[in-house]
Amino acid sequence: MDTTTKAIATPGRFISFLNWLRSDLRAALSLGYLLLLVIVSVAAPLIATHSPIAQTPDYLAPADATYLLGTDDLGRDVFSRVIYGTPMSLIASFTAVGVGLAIGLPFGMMAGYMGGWVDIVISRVIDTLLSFPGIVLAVAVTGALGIGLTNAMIAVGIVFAPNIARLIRIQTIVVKNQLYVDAARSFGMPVHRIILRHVVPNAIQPVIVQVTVMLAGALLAEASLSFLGLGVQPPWPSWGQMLARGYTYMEIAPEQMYVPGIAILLTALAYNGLGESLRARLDPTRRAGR
Amino acid sequence: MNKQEHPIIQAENVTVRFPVGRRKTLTAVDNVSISVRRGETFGLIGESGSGKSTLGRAIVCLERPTKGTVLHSGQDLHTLPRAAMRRHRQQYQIIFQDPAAALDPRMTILRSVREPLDVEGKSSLAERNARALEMMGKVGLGPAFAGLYPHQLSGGQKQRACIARVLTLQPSLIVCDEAVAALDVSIQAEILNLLADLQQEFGLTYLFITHNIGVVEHISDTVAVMYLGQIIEIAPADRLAEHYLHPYTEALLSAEPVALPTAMRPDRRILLKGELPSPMDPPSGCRFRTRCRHATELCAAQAPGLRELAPGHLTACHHAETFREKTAAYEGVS
Repeated sequence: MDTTTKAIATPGRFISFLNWLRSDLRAALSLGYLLLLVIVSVAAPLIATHSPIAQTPDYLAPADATYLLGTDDLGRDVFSRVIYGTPMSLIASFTAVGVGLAIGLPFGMMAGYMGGWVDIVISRVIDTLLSFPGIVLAVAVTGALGIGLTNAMIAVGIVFAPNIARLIRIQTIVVKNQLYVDAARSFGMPVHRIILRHVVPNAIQPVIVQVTVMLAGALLAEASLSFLGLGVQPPWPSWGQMLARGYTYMEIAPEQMYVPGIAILLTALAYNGLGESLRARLDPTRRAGR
Repeated sequence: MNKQEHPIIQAENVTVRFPVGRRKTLTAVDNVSISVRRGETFGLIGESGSGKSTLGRAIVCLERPTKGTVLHSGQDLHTLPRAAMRRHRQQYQIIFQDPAAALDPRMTILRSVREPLDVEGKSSLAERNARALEMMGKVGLGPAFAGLYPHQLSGGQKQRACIARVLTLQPSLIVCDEAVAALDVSIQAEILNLLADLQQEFGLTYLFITHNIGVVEHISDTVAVMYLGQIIEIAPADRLAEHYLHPYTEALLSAEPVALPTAMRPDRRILLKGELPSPMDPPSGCRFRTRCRHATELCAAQAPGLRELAPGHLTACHHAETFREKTAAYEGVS
């Protein structure tokens, strides 16, 4: 997704990029919010009021001037933990989706474009992977790779890959049978250029949308894996892990879940909003005629 | 080998089969041989499903013949190394029926028209743009169209863009696959005139595929009639209208709309019975026999080959010499 944003923002198109943000409030808000998260991630040590891992006797304290959002069950400052959890959550979601794309796109396109036995083999592998429950597959892969946030997110990426591959395969089949691909062939265009010039731009749209849904899904998957102890390792925080921990004290301190939960929700919404706006933006038939 | 000695296109016993489901094949083109001379307009007529488009696609190497060869100036492109084949095929271009589908919806008109030059990669971007704009000018699309997307153009304008695109390569042959069928009648005439002008200017050879016998008669030098994957009659265009030698051609000609009130029309319209038989299971003998009112037992037993009955005029009918008298007799009775 970030490559497409970049493509739009290249010099010369910068003005039209600004105009786009001005005309599309959803895109502007989503992008603004995600930009804010990036800034927070980079500047976490400056923003945080406490160490995110320092324990104090004031456990489950309510919000006050010292602890802006209260403390958790080990007396750690929730505000600082949310701030320090931001880069973890961002990196986690992008790693997972990046791995999913890196595996899913080439294999899906290969299956769709080449057809024949290549398609049969790849499709069967996709079906096999899809038949596993996602979380079980992720746990198994994390177990094999070793525990840790990066490995957990690679595992989530591997779970995502067959979905992406299946989506791009179908799109590729549709596009490769278009007349403009036949025309390109008759101009003597080599296959790899046909794929780059015609197949990718025309097949990628639903993948962009899918990616934004998956970014949100990866945030939640990170939460699940951290809940199982396979993600970010304590004492370091991530939103998912905070949510999981807060869940334990849901009955006595429900507010523990609000902040990381709302942060995840807003981030997921921003991903989705940006994806939807991007898709509309990248489709020339949906742009106003000039 | 001297290029001029060979016909620009020589299809020899070309058969194209497509797999349909398990162990079934559809024979779209069955043992067809045609030869197109440099500079002529070769018309190919037939109804939907007769295999004419598949033959056209095979001629520009978009389909590979299951059997037989297509020689481009004496050379079979499929035997060349890939890079050489890609270079050679640029001489043989195709204009499709649906101009909307033939242009990438995500590319501006200029980029689409420039595409063949991008593939060639011989000149700078500025030169390629200039050349693309020049060709757009030739087909009547001003520079204002350069930045537009296909959905912002009308059907006729899109077809012009497609024509400009193939012209950038200065091809020697263009296959026009129902190139005007999707357009309004007034636009059809415009595009046909444009194609005729371009033929004069660039010395183009056309293979004109259509189901409209009226169009073909006017612009072609030679006409071939296809039925169910086979060519059943080939004749010089000026002979065909009066001296046709196949009952199917007779039916096609009689089906052509006449711009006269009903009372003044010659009453010789022949309605074909039934549907085009399935190409997966063609009839024995003569393929047209199931719909031919002149069919005899001979037609079911033996497939008629193409016979040359007059110079340059070939037909595949057992009763080519006699059926027209019978037609006259039918009309006398009714």
